[in-house]
Amino acid sequence: METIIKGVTIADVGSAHHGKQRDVLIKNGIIAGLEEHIETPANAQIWDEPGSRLSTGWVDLQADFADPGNEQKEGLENGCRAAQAGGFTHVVLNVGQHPVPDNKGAIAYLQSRSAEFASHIWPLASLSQGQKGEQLSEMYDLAAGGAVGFTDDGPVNRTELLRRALEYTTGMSTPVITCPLNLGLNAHPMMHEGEQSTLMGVVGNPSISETMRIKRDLDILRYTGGKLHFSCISAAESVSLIRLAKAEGLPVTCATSAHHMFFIDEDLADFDGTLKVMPPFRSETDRKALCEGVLDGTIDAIISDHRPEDLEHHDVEFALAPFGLTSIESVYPVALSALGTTEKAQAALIRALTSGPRSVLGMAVPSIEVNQPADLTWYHPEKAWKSPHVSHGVNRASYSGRQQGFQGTGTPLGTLR
Amino acid sequence: MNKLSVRHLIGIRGLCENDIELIFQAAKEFKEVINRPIKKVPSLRDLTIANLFFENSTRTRLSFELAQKRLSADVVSFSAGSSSVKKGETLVDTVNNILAMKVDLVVMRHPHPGAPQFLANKVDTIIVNAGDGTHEHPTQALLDAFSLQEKLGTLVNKNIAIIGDIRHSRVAISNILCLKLLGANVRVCGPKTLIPKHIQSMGVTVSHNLDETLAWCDVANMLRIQQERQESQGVSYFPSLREYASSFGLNKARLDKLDNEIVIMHPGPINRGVEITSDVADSQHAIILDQVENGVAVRMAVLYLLASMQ
Repeated sequence: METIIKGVTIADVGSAHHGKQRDVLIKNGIIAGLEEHIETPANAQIWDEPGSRLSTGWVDLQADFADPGNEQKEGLENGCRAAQAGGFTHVVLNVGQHPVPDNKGAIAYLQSRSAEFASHIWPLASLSQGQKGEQLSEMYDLAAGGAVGFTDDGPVNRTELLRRALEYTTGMSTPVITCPLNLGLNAHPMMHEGEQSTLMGVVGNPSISETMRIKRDLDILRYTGGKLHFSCISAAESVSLIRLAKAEGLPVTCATSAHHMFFIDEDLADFDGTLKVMPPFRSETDRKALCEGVLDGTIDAIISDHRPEDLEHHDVEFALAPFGLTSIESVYPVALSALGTTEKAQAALIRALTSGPRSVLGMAVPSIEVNQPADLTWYHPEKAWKSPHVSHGVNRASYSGRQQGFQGTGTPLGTLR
Repeated sequence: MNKLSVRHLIGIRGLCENDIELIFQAAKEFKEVINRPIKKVPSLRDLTIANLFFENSTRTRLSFELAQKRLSADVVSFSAGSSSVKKGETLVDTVNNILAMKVDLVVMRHPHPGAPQFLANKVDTIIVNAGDGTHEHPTQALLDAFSLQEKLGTLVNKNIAIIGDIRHSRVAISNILCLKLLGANVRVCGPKTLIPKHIQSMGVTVSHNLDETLAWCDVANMLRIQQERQESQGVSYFPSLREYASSFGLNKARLDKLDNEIVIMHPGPINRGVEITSDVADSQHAIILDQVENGVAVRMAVLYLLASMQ
């Protein structure tokens, strides 16, 4: 099986061909040719779109396909198809399965089921047994079985549990992952605490709920060692704290979602439950700081935090709506709209989808060079984006008319792996 | 303009000054009607109205029902306790089932902020919000402002204090929006734990000193302490009712210290001896029963004006 991509601009800072227009020939999963012009072999599949670009395959560091447990919301196979439509060659699968993946059998199941799917699954494992936040899961076993990180898909509330997890995994390449939130400041927050939540009469979650937890977690990391990753940050001060921690040399990484770089709390003014996420969309200042964090590399990865919902669960009052968005297909155009289309912004965006997430997981970054395995995303920054509607999730945001202008361009064209 | 700018009454947010004037003009006329020996007009005799109360209410529900009956509408009412909501039916299904019985207008109280907005986007009927969680209670704000205009004339530059549990109060948010629209200066007063941190963004000042606030204001609107909501995660917002009453309760001794007479309001139901003592609630300064009477007239006006948009 041969594929040739014609006249594509290479976007891979690690490659000698970076920034150059090339024909790329892929044979049996290997980059077989990479030149200004390659004769198209007979029977080769031809990919040709003027102005398109080719980068190392994109990695989504956090997505949930609700399988097993709530397959009607998405399912592994369809989730992988949606990920491919979003340009991702790899998806780090969050731990939203039931039963929870706290044993190597569960990890093996996820891997074997998804082996042939469009996008490759890298499963996360539960940090604690039963995701109860009490006892460590069998982390050596899980890592050996293929788990790429440990999380309970939320904050680690017990201080000693985080300490033991970081100590226990020191020396492994797999990070301990937490969502830095202290939810003890008030009960049942639904959005960011600020002017907008006051006007809406909705219980808010203040930014300090995130920053106070980041400070605690960084203090523990400084004491224990290990590798700590913050799964999704949302506040300006969080970016500053992590920037300082990295300058200090702490082994910490972080991500934010494309939608946190785009939406703010004011976008929820009409009680649109689709935009109810946790951590919540915060202020314009926070949003801008997140974009800055991606541009200067403080934020390592842009995630989808894909959490698909079926109509029955989604079509309810704001207060009852579950947290999360169907978002894996729209990461690239949404992040591109937020960051802008300068070359610096585009480079930062591709870094946050390729080398950034791989470095969080301690993985090597495949390069676009001859004889290297093909792990590639083909995309077009200027082509008008239309939602492919592959995901079964109905909780899709509407981007038009939002506070931040949606450029509407940036289309993943295909993936090769 | 003799028509409202909105199809539904979801909140004061969304109304303009002209809408409020229109409602007040109509309310004046309806107040005259309900004080006649025959208190009824046939204005809405072709209309069927459903009162859907997903949360308990006595006075608001009675006030709406009376307003509807005075306008000759056909009225059906239900409360969540006696409905299929308890059996797991969704809000949209519940309302659509009622609308299938040819109901023209829905008055709804709901425990969740934003529920009337959600419903307005989903079903094809006129929605009047009778209170949605801690969000808005627009007819209460309208009847409060109407009562104050009756008493004081214009509200421009009048100093109005809203005192007590602002955090859990839909009345406070709607009142602030309405009073600001009518040109009043608004201050909220209470212990810091009962005042949302970002309330100043609504253009109000904040005080934690009741005596200072009473000396400043022309009107004191005393809000009910919502005893059922005075705890979050096991931590209470203030230590005891006794301390609350002594620090933030309005009593005669406090009133006697003031140089000027002030108007006392309360949206009811009153916790006598907590936010207000009986001698104040029943005094000539209080317009609490005027508020109740005006509630019927204002709700008649709202229903009449929204129905005439059909």
